[in-house]
Amino acid sequence: MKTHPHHYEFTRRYGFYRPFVSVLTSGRILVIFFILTACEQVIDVELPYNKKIVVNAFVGDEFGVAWISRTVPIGTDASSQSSAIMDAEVKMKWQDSIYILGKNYSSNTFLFPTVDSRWQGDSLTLMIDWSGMHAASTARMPKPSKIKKVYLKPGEDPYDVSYLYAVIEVDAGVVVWTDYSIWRQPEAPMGFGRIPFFFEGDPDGVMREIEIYIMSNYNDVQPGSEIELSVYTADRVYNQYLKNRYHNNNEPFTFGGTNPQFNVTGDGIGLFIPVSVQTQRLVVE
Amino acid sequence: MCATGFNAAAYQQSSRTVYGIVTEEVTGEVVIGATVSLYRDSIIPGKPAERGAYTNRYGHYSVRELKPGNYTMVVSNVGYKPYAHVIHQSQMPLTVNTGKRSEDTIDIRVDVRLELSDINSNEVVVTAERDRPAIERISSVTLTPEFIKDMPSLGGEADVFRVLQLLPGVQSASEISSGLYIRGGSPDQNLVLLDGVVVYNPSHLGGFLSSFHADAIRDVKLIKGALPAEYGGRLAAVVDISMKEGNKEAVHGAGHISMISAGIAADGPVDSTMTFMVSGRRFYGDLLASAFVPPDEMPTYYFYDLNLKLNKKFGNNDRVFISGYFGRDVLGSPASDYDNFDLAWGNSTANIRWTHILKPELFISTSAIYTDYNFGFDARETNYVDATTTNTTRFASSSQIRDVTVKSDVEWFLPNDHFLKSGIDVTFHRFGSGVTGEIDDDIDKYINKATINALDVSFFAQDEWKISDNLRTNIGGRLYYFNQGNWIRLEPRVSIAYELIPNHTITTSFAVAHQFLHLVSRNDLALPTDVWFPSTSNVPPSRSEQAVIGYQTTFNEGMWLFSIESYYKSMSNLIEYKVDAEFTLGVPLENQFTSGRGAAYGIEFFLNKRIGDFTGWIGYTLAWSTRTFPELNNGKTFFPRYDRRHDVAITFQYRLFEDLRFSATWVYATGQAYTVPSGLYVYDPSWSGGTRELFTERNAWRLAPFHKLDVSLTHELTIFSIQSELILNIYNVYNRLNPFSIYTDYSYNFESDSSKRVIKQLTLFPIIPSIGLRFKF
Repeated sequence: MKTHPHHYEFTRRYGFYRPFVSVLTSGRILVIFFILTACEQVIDVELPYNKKIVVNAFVGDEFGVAWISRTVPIGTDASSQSSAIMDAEVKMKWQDSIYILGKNYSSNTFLFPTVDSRWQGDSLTLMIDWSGMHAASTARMPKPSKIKKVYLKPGEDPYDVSYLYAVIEVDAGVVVWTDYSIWRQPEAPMGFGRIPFFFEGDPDGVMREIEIYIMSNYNDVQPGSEIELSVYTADRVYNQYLKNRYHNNNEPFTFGGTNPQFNVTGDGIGLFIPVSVQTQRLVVE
Repeated sequence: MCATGFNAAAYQQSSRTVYGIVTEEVTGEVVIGATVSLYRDSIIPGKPAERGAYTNRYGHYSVRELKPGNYTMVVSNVGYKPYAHVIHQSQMPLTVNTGKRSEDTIDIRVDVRLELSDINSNEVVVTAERDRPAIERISSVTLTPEFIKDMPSLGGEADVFRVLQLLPGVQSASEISSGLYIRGGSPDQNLVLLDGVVVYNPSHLGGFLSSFHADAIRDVKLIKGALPAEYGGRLAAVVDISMKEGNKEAVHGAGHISMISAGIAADGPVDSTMTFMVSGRRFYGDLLASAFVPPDEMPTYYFYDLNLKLNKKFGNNDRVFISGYFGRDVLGSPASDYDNFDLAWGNSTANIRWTHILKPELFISTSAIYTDYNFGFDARETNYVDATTTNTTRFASSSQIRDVTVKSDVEWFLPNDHFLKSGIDVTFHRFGSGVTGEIDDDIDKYINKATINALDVSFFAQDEWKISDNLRTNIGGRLYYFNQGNWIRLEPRVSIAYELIPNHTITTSFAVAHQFLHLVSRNDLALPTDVWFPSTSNVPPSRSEQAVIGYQTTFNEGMWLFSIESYYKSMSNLIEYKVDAEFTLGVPLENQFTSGRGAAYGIEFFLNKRIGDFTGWIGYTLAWSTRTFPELNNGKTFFPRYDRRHDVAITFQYRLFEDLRFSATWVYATGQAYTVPSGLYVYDPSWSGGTRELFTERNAWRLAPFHKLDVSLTHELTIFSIQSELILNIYNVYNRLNPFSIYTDYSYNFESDSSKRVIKQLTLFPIIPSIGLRFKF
């Protein structure tokens, strides 16, 4: 399975949404006629209030933090301090084991236990109880992807940049993304900023090899260079969220917004994403 | 007016067919939908015509199986003085061809020319109108361009679709949209025909105006549902627009200048057998603005449309029409902008049609048609690499649909009051979509294009059968083959009208319809970014089943029409974008779609004063429209934005004085179904901009009701010997601030040096007076 490297870059830059929105909100669309006549006013209208627990939780080898907060009505201030609900009870369940997450009041976070390798390939359930409300999410922690090789692929013409690719072996229905250090000294992970790559794969759970784009190479990497590569693997639900997370617009010409696709159910919204991490040092081919 | 009678020798035979063409006296244009009634001996109040027929879109009619006797022939249509003539056995034909085809059949041609009339209160017209069968009126309305032009309009721009939106069962999505949402269907579910040619996106100005120049239009017919078999390919409704053919007597013209556009139309004879019609219209706001704004700082916007029609007569029985339409919208950012864009979209159509009267009772029409719709978007973003160097990122997308069609229809008046219409239609569709991305001035390119070809073949047959004086039916069917996916679909159609007592008729109809071309729209934007996409093996055709039951009555000698219609329509395989669709980039596009079902039901009341100095209607619709998509709104049923529980329109036109006409419309509609924020949450505490809004379920909230009053005064006058009309329009007379949208924004408080999130409402059109000028030469 191959992907065009620029797919990621264009998606990242535009999300195929921004140009249209920028056109609409730049005040030029619908012509001078509308601009001359249209008027906006602050209105006193009572919008509905949907009280929800908000979950933002990632558990993996290098991280294991849950931010638990709540929604507040439109018109009130929402801040990480004011909306955090540290009096919530947060538990994680794996098979028959239940783990109660600890609290870090200085950062308003709940802390996951250290990852148990037995969790990989199995489902984890996060449960939150707060003020008579209950939210939960069950998600799979995929098996970690295996990095087979890293290599350079030349561009289409002699003046083009080359591209760094990796061949990895992944589980079906997962999202993978990479982080790398091209120097001999590894750098700190870049977190979740990189564009993930979704592999649909076969639903039979058999691991497949895929070719994944890592970066455009401006002569920083040569064959024989050493690189430390981390591959992060999460369940497909993360991909569903990523694909529409920017649809959350509410502007004059966008007819309301849509909520991202979360995987928390019950009285809550948000994400619970278990992540497997595989880090290897490899020689570029 | 030309009067004719029976051939005396022919009169001795047992069966007669009267046929011919009905045209307008002054212009020679054909009259569509004129009623031809033949009364035995003379008109007796309360006694219906013995035989009757209606002219088709080419003015042709045929009345078969007339028994020997004297007849009074009446030809009438709203807007014309009636043609009435007593046909006597001893009368010889004056200007007609009469021939004998067999021992039992005599063909008598009667070509009729109707005179225009401003006031149609004549008793004969009224009688003839009353005799028009209710089956012709099931879910349908016909409007003249004169009526459309006299209605109040924003900026004085007469617009066909804006007037159609005032009819019961027809809703608008918003004040900005001329799109027709008919009985719970979206605009793409309407078959919009201009001289029989499909127009895919019939709008200008981002959907604000329809593409049709009122000065070029001859007739507009709307069928709101339960379509007869002669129409197909769409689920909801038909808007069938006929262009003028051209004045046969002399060159005439008409023009207008409104606050939005200026247009001109001319028509006339080329020679004794050929006429022409040409019209053009252009938005001129950009030209005005260029006087005040430096060219490189001004955004570009304009639209234009052109219509052309040639009509050539070959003898009495053959005509060839050539018509074309070309319209385009162009929008661009100022040249001085670093980040700029260009948008353009438009339609082109061409049609050559041959009509032939093969026999008096057999009319054939054959057409070759080309239609093209395309949309293009090109955005460029310029970034500074350093103080002196920039690079550009470009994103461009396009979509296109291009059709070539050959079709042939026959109309056959058969014995025993059967009127058969049948036809075959073969269309080759070519759909194209593509995206091009360039980063850093061509260093990186991304190009993805796709083309889909599809062959669409359909056959229809329908029989309009007058079973008895009280009972009429229209039974037919339509068969499709669509080669993308090898879909074969059959659509039964039936309409029945039963006259309980004179002037009181109950009607019912049922129709199955399929749609193989889908306009996939983004729910969240107002631009024409929608993409036409064909059915494929993965995208089955949409299907609707609609049942209508109604009651009609005319009273006060036919001046008033009152009707009630109730409908239920179920729809399946409707297509929308998935929530996580990657717009345009996701070629093949069908992977971005999700399908669902819909339902629409309601009841419509329509009281129409049709004839006289005072005309107009009151329409009320109580309706529901829902959609259910497993992959949208968590699978929960939701209302589309244009769902309106209550919809009221009151409209009238009144001639105050000989040279002064007044018209007004008042509309009320339940507020739009809308998605609003229902809470705030902080999703990423590590990022200061991490506050987001939680939205309600899709369209789970209602904007405030929409209502407004528009008025118009039209003063007829002569300017430099040119017959003119000065029009004063006042849009939204009582300045109702109708919501177009609501959204959250920040309001800054200078005293506390803080900002607060507030809810704002956008109103597009407060009270707007405007003047316009129309003229004829």
